[in-house]
Amino acid sequence: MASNRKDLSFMNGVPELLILRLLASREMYGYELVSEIARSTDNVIELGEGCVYPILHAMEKNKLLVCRRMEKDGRSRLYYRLNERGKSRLLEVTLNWQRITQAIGGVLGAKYAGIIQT
Amino acid sequence: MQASSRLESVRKLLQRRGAPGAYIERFARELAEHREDLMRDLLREGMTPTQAETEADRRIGEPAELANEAFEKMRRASFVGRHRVFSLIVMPILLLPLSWFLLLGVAAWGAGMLSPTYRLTSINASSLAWIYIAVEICRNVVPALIGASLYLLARRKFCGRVWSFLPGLVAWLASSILFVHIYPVGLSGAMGRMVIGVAWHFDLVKTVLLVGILVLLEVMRKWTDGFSYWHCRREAGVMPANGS
Repeated sequence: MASNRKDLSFMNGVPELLILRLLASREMYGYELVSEIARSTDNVIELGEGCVYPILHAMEKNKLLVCRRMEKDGRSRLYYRLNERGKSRLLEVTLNWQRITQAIGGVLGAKYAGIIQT
Repeated sequence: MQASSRLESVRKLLQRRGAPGAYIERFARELAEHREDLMRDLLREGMTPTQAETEADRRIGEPAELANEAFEKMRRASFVGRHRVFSLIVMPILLLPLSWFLLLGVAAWGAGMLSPTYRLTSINASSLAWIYIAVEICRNVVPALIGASLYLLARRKFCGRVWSFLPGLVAWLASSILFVHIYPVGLSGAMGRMVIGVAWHFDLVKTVLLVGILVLLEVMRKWTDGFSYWHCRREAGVMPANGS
């Protein structure tokens, strides 16, 4: 499936949600996050690889994440981890996302099912 | 670590927009590390080094896009960045009379003028000197302090060069319209009276002090950015330890 990078209006808030969700499971560095997002979404969602860092930095500035430089396999990288505030934010955006997708799903599933089939 | 010319472009674009040096170095370093990881994976997939480089640069993104994204995301992450007009234009106008009020209040309290037993004729020379000093500070130093502190705040909050100088200009304008003055001892009728009012006036001392402090801060910022650039590149191994 083609990448959804250009569907910007659909992508609002999605990178933040995905990053929060992935970092909730474990500590990751930028490249690992981008690869994990592409892998876990079957390449449907590919973030602009360089653009993931400004998102991470802004989230860190908003005190949702903490980072530390760590050496692993002989390479030093900046690892990001979710803090308590980040976990609360994850819960909030997940609930919002579910509410919106349910609402849209309801509209697409019932009212316009005939139009889509034709 | 080999930084590509595209990363240098990101760095220069962010510098041009006035992003803090420490942030620029952090972002550039993370991008360089990302590129290195990506290149390694692409080479492992069977690409030639040239193909891998081209693909890595394509996937990381255009320098202008990256710099803009980074700057805007960081700016919008703070209240000051989101509300620049209020924080950097309205705030100096509000801060000026507020600072005068506080400073003159402290000076008046120090001089014993807030005491219920105070009489104008009972004020001594040293107390009067304190009031004169407080008035001079209000006229000349307070606008410079407001300009400088909001300059530093704007720089830290990714508001850019123009927005960082704007509070200084606004504080200068506001303090050139508002005035606080003590009529000298001996002037009949108005002896010892302090007046706060509105009238256009140009004050050279205040202007020189304000411009001087802002220029000094800008020079210091450039110097610390240069140092941070040198330090990070040395730490990343791009530059030999002697910095040459």
